[in-house]
Amino acid sequence: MSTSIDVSTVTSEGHDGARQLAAARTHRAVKVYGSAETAVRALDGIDVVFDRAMFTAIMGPSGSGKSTLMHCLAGLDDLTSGEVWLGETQLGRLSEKQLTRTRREKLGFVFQAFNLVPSLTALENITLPLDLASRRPDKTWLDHVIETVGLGQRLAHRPCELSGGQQQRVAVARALASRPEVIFADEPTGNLDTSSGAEVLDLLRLAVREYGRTVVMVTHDPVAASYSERVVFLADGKIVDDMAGPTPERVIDRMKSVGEV
Amino acid sequence: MLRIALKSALAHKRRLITTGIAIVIGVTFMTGTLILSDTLGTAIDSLVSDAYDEYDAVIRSKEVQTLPFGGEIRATVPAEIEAAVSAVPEVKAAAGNVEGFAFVIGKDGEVLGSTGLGPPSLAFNWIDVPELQVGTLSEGRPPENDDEVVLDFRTAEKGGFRIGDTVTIESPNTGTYEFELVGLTGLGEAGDETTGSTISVYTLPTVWRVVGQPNKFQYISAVGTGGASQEEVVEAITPVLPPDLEAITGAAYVKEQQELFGQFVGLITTFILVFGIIAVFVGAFIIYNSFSIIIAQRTREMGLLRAVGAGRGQILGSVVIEAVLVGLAAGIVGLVSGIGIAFALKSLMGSFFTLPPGPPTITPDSVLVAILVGLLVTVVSALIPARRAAKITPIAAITEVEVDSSSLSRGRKVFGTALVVTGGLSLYLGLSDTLGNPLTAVGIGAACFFIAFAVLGPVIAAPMSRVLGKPLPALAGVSGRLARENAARNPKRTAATAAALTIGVALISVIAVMAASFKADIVDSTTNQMTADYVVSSGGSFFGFNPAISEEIAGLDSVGIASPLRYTGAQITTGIGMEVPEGDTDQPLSEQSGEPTAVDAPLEFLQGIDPETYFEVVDAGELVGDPGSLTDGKFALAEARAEEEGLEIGDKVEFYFVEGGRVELELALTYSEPLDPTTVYYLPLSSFEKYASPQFRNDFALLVTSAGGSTRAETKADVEEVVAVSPMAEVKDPADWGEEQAAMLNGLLGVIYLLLLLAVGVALIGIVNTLTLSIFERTRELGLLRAVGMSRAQLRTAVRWESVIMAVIGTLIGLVIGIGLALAITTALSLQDFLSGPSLPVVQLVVVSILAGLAGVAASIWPAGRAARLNVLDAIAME
Repeated sequence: MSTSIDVSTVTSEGHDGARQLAAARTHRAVKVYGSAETAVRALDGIDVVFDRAMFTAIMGPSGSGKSTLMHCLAGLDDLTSGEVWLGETQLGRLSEKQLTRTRREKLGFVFQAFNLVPSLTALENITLPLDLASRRPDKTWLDHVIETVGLGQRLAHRPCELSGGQQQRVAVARALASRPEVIFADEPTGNLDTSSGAEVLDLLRLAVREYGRTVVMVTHDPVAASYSERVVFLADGKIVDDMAGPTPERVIDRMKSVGEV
Repeated sequence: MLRIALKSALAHKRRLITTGIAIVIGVTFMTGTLILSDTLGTAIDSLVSDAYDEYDAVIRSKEVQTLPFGGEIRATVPAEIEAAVSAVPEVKAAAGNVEGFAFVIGKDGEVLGSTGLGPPSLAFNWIDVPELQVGTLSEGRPPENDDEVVLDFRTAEKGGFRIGDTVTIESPNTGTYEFELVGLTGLGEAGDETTGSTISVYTLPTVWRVVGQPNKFQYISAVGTGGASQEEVVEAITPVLPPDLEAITGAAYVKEQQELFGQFVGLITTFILVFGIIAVFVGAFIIYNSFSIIIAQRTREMGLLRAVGAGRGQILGSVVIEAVLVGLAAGIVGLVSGIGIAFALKSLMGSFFTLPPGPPTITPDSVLVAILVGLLVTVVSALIPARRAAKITPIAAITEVEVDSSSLSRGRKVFGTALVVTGGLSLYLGLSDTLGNPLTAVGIGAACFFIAFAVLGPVIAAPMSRVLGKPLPALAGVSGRLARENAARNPKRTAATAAALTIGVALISVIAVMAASFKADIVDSTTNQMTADYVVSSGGSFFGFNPAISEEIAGLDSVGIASPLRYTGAQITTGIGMEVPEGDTDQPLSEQSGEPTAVDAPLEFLQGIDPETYFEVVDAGELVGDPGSLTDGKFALAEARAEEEGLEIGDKVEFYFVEGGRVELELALTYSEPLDPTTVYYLPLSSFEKYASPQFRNDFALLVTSAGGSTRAETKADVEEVVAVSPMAEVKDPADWGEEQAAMLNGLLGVIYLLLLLAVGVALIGIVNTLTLSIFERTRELGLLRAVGMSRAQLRTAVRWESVIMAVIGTLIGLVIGIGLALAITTALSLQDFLSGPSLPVVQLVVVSILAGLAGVAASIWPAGRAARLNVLDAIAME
């Protein structure tokens, strides 16, 4: 963990050797929207651990709480009760400023759409988190990332001049450029055709296998989920299944039993 | 469709409110001034009619000169006419009225009341006939002896004078007096109302002595015998009058006086109204911009409406209805706040005039103007965006369209460039003196440049943003880069936002450069041309000082030369007939005043000089002719002007003086460098004494040199001793005198700047509005930025710099246009010899630029705060 953040390493009851491997985890995470009669428990006491250097997919029907879980893990939303840990940092204890810095330095994001700042070029978008932190990009690493995602020719273009697939690859490159601890991907292939989607998923898998990053991806596409090493199924704010080594067929079967077609 | 428009308007309440504010400010100012004008008008009309309502007839001279900024100067009536009028059987009583200038000196030795543009200080004679008394005695008794005076109650109050006190009176023409205060007067039935003028009332012989115009009246008032109508009284009096006098009815006189006062009030209110109109004009840009952005943001919604069957006309209609709602609301709010402003201004004015109690006069006209202006400006400004909305195709509902991507057409660039070329050519030809009047050419050029700026604004906005934003990435990192790119991203939007600021800044810089040029000109000519050691000056007032002071100084042993300067006006009437045929004039004043004798020639300023000494203390450049030959009946003229008029030495020119009549004077001398470029006719004092109206026979300045054997310090001490008796005169170094003359412009400039700042303020609201709407539009982008680690502070910085870029673009264009225009105007004026040339007030212009940049920062506070407070999750989850 980095030093610049006031990291609270206060022992919680689960501070053992195995948990130290966790890139992110939640403890009795509860998120309630609204109040009284209209209250919705989007997360209903979730305990989940995302291992370091692992590609995990979160699946579930609409309203199952999968996006809420990801938002809370990424510090974009706060819990009603319970804890979220990113490595050894408990997010709930961070100030707004510290959260911003955590996102900038330790997290990477790939969203479904609108991933890039329209007024910046592809390269500027890739280095955006580094620039925001006033960090000098590691040139060799940056070149390597750009080469990996295959964008050499289009770096000076603006997002509106790139295809959807290219835009998503820029987003992945951005997520990789700052070497974050965890990359969160929210339906990264939702707006792409099959082959572009496959390219993006390959890149995310590469990030785990080659560079040892941790990737947490929310999706409802069984094929996308099959790129991961583990799938966590959510329904009604609870974890209903946890599958290792998913294939599209197994995922579809499981989804049917959870209730989503 | 109406329902959709209404719902849409309600759904965007906040946006519409900020949009409307721009118009509200302008409308507020316009209605405020209109209501104030009506209120003052009503008050003054009643004060005037109270003062003169018992006059049945007024006898006065036909000789009259109208002053450039309202008001008039009329020749006097000989005293013996009073007896002749009194002898007319239809006349019950007649009384001569003296109206001269005399200042009341406060206990601190300073003049009470204004010596400049403010309400005048007037000296009257006491009239015994009750019907013909102008004021009402509120306390004490009338003046009966030569050492007694009655003051208006407001002046007595201001000066702390009580009945029995000694009051010092200074006449610019005859010197200083001391009187015993015996009574207080005022207008209205109880004598407790005032128009703000300082009034002192004396016995007839005393007022003649003070004013220095014995046996003359300004006019004679008469009251008829019981049965006679005003017309009958006038008809009965007319036969006994000499041909140069006329009699008019009391009613006509009241109406005339009301109109004269009304002109002054009108001047002030028109002046303020102009700035209200400028504010509305600036507001129009903001309305246009806001509607453009709102429509761009609602492209999909409009496309959907079209897809489900809405016609183009219906879409257009819905936008227009929204504009009508905003305009109506802005008009009503503007009207209400305008009334509030009028209340505030009324109490402010109340310290000058007595105003009737109760609410300001609100006429249906003001209400109508407020509502109509709000409505029309808003609807007209929204028409172009509305037409754009109507062009949206149904397909826009399904496809993701780039927001406001309408490109910049080639036609725009061609047209804009053509305008710049035309404007430039017009300026060049005008200023190279190949066309007749350089000012017309400058006018055409200026109009071309203003339109070109509106046309080319969007073309230059993007490159300008990039250039100005160049240092930003180094200064503020990513935030800076984002700011620069965002400003460049919607050139039309940036241009329209900046344009609102450009107008105010351009006007301010035109005024600043012109003022600086005039001031520099005055200071230059006084320091470079004056060889006098000291100037005794009347301290920047509109009146001179008693010539006796000059005579006394001239007699001092330590003084070498003492050369006085006087000023008056006359019309050059060579070749112009005196009798303007009746019906040939559209002046309403002349309708009741019989045969108009005012000639239509422009008023020229005349400088009275002592030919023996003037050219020794002022370097007037090259002289043609001998100063010694400039005797009574001759005049001198600037060489350039003489050439322009085709005059040569020995030629005769006819002057019309209101008191002195038509006089033929001979050109005896030309000189190349006028002391004041607006005053190029010089008269020897001997002629000045003869022809100028008595109120101008006082010295504005006395140019003094030391005598051979005396040091400058000795001379100064001696002169100061003489001057000490008069609060109207001061001793100055020539350079300081120039500064003082120049400083006369400052008060007016201050007011103009203040009012123009209002336009700048409206423009800032425009920046706030554009930024707020842009931020709303970029919600998702901002959410993304925050998600990938942009801090609130960084986001605020980005918005702030974007605002600064827009503000600086507006300011820079404004400065370029303003300075360019002012340079052209001043150059044109110097071609006509009004000015020696342009002069740039660098400090002021730099201050304006810095202020505009800071204003950009200020305008960004609210939008930046909103952007920073944005909930990241809501922003990225927004679909």
